[in-house]
Amino acid sequence: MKRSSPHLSHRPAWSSLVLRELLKKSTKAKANDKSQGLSLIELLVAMVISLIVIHAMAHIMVSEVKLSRSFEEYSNIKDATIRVAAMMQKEISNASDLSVPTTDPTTCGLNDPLVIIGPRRLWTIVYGFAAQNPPPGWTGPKTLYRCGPAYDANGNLILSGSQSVKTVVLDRLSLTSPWDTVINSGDLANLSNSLSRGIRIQFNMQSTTGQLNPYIFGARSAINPLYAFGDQVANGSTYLTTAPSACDDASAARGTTNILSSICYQTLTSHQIIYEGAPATEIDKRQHFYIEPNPGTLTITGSPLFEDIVYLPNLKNTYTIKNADGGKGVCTRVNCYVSSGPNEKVSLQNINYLIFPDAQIGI
Amino acid sequence: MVHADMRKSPRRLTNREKHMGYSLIELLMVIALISVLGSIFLRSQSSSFVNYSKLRLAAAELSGAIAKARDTAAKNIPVDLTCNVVQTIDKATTNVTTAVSPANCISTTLLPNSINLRDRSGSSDLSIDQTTVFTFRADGMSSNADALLTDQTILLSDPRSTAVICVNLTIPTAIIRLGLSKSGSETCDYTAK
Repeated sequence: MKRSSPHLSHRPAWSSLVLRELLKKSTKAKANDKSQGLSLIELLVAMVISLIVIHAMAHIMVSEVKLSRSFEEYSNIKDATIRVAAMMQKEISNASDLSVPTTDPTTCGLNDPLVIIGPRRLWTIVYGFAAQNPPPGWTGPKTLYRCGPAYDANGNLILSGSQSVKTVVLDRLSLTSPWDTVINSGDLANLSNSLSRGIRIQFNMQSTTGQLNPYIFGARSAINPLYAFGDQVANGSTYLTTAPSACDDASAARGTTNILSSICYQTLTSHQIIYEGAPATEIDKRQHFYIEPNPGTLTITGSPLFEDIVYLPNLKNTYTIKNADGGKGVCTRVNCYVSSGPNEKVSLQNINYLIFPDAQIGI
Repeated sequence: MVHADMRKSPRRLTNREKHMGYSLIELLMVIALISVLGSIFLRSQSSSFVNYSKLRLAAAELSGAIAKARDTAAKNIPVDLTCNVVQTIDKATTNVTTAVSPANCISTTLLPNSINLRDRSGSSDLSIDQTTVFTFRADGMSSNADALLTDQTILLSDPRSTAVICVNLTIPTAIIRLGLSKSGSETCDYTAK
């Protein structure tokens, strides 16, 4: 065999030796197959390779799970933040004033408070931070509280019984003092400042993996200045002694009016407009009729020369609004009738706006 | 030299054969033995673990159903429409059913399917501490039909497990939290990982 193969005959001696060794080993292995097994080294090598492969696979799986959890956590934080922001925007838009005093003026006792005051001070909501941050059961590092009337199933504030509820509304805040910029706040008693109040809020949120992008939003009191008079009366404004005049002066062209149970006041405010391509000043002439609680039967007639606004004392859903007492038609500018019960029956003529503590209607 | 090595090599092979590694049969026997011992150990531990896992599954199903009802209300109800998504978690049957109020104010096909927590979790003895009704509005906010003004907690338990899982919904901001009460009587810990 060797002689007939010139190729093999030229092999070096060590190569020939290895080939023989392998041949013998193979023959021997076949002969003693039952007693053959894996050596410890082979086992260890196989185990190490297996461990490396398993570790790599496990690492990928764990990373996927962590990523999934992180995404879910981020999504949950973002959802909660958006809902709280929407709630605050709604509350502030219905409010007549907001402020960020150094101490909480209510019994809620929150630190770093944002105080939102409803029309006629019917409600007060405070957002702020408790002394213990985070409180037990919350992740933190900071949690935002809301203290104020609760909501019913239809999203209306529960004002009966003046029940105030203090609850955590937002977790995972990294910082306190989210109240960034406040505009025209805390000036309820000043009739000349009937401008809208606003605030810029920045929530800095934090997940277990780190800081999230800040969630920044603005909120504005949308119902001023229409509410201004009603609020200022409710807050003890000195409206009767300030210019321009009360309604029952000679300049008010009114019809037969019984406003014994109401307060009326005229305002003349001006603002700049562009008229026929040139700057001009427009005068807003308004008559404000403030209806006190339980006024009885009342008739109010507005002036055709003024924008007439009636401020009613109760929530809109407590009123029947028709064209007349016992009528079935809809309320119009000429004839309107609002009633919240036997203690409040108000007939309205030539009125432009009805302002309730929770809503307004342009007639 | 070469011849000398060739003579030695058969003896070396014989020595190695004497110290050969474990056979497949030996390995299999050891693995089988370890498996038997391990299974005996795990069996003693598995009962509470399995029941706790079922509880966790039920809690995950419940929190998922609550989140889905909340999101359905937020995404499908126009803001100016008087319509709420009402979800009932029934104590007796452990059914989680979702409806709209008033009826058909939005299409019921948009609502999450009704589920039974016992069926979903595989825990036939699963119990809920109270029947609870949540109402979700278009703005994603929640309230409780019983006019409870603060957050609402549902406790899930199984008689074969000492732990109690707490599913908490904040009102009105509808944040869902899962917590654990190890003994069932202590306060729920929502920060437990």
